[in-house]
Amino acid sequence: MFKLTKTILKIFLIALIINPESSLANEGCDNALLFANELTDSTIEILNSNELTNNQKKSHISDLLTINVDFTTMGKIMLGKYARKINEEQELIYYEIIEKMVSKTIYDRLETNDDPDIMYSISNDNCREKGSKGKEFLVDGDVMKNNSRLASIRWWLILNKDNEFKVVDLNLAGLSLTLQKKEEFTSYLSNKSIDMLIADLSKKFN
Amino acid sequence: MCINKIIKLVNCGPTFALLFLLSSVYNANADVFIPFEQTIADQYNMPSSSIQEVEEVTEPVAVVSFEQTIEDQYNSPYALTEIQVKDVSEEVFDYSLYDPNEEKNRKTFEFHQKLDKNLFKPLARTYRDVVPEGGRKAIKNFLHNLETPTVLINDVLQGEQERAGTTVNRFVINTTVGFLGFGDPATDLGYDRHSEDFAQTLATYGVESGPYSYSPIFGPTTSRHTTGRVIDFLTHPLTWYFTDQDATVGLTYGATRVVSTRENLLDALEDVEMDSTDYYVSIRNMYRQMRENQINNGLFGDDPSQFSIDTSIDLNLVF
Repeated sequence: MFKLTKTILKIFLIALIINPESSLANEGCDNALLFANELTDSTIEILNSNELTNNQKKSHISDLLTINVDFTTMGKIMLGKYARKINEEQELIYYEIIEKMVSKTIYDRLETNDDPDIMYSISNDNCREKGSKGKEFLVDGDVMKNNSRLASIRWWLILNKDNEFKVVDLNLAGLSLTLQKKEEFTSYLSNKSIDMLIADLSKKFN
Repeated sequence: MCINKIIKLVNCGPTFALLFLLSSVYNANADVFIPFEQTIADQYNMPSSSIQEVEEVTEPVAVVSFEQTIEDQYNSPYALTEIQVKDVSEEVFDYSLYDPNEEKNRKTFEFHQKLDKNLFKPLARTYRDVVPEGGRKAIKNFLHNLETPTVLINDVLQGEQERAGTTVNRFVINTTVGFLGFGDPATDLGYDRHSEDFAQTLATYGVESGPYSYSPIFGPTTSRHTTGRVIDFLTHPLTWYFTDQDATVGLTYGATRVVSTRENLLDALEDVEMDSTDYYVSIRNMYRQMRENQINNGLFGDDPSQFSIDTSIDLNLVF
């Protein structure tokens, strides 16, 4: 019996040694979960606040997203194959509008809590690594309304070269913001120019 | 007997049938949005089978060499990985819905928008102004409760025992304690509402969604979804009940369903329309994503290639 236990332990140790990536992935996921939970806690605190006005909530959420979202990567994904065609001058304006657009859209999707008896919470409890380089993570969780599950939420996170997590997509109840905008923009750009897209977006979000 | 009923339905209840079907237009749109006050079941329920294969990529979209990183290619701060060379003639997957009749669909969509602007939207606004929030919620609950037979049949057809149990419990609790379904105490007791329909059942059996179309009756739909809706309509007990009633009963039910659902979507649709550079594409994309989610019973699909920055196939999709 003792021998069998020893053998199992040996096999387990060997498996760990030859597959160090699994423990690294776990570490990455732990950090991704930590990041997502901190971000959602801050978001929920703002949304549930009875002291802040709607405009103040909007401004706080926007500040929070500025720090935690990678608007550049998000903007590139949204452009799809046209990302290669954008020039430096256009980029400056485009990413600025994307930031405004994403902040507004995320806020619109999250906001609607005017009832003080309704408390929202988000629990992120599942993470898995995407790709093979340990730089992308999908963190899944649930949005709760009081004690009842309201929707599922998925964060697509990416680890930048400074080892900071950044959000590149928010999927709420199955609706991915980045993929939705990607389809919209690529369809638009199949007939029109990037300048026209930027002008159109500026009109809407500036 | 059954045939007689069908004939009667066709002869006596066309108005009801039209309203019932029209209400599906808004139900389809209802799938698209995610206002927080709606229960999860409003939003939910799809496996990755909706992924459509599309025509070959003819243009080399962001195919890069082994040596090049995303950073090199896209000036991204993230030097994620080296990207594999991909033969552009290889088949790739497009996660957008296949929309071969886009031009025609857009025309129908435009017509539908005009109808909405001049008829359904004003009706929904008036309904919101006249009926207080509590009343509107009660009516919504009542209509949801009437959908139970469709949900239950499809729970069973999909072999979802637990969900079927939830559906039965919800119906019993809401019909009794919830005063004929006007209240929703079942949700407070942990029986969350979910939706099921025959198109979702077909999807779980592996039936492909087919091309996307924008139907004047059904709104955003696919051939699978349209088939499902017709089956749902024909198998719903209310359809047969209404054939024996005065036409006004069916009319009232259908009209209430349309107005209630449209009212529920007033703000969400306005936001989407305001923020969208192409409203038609926004609706199409949201429809697809929400249907996927519904078929997955509100859970995220397990397809890791759905979007990733660092794999070649996804690079074709993403960049």
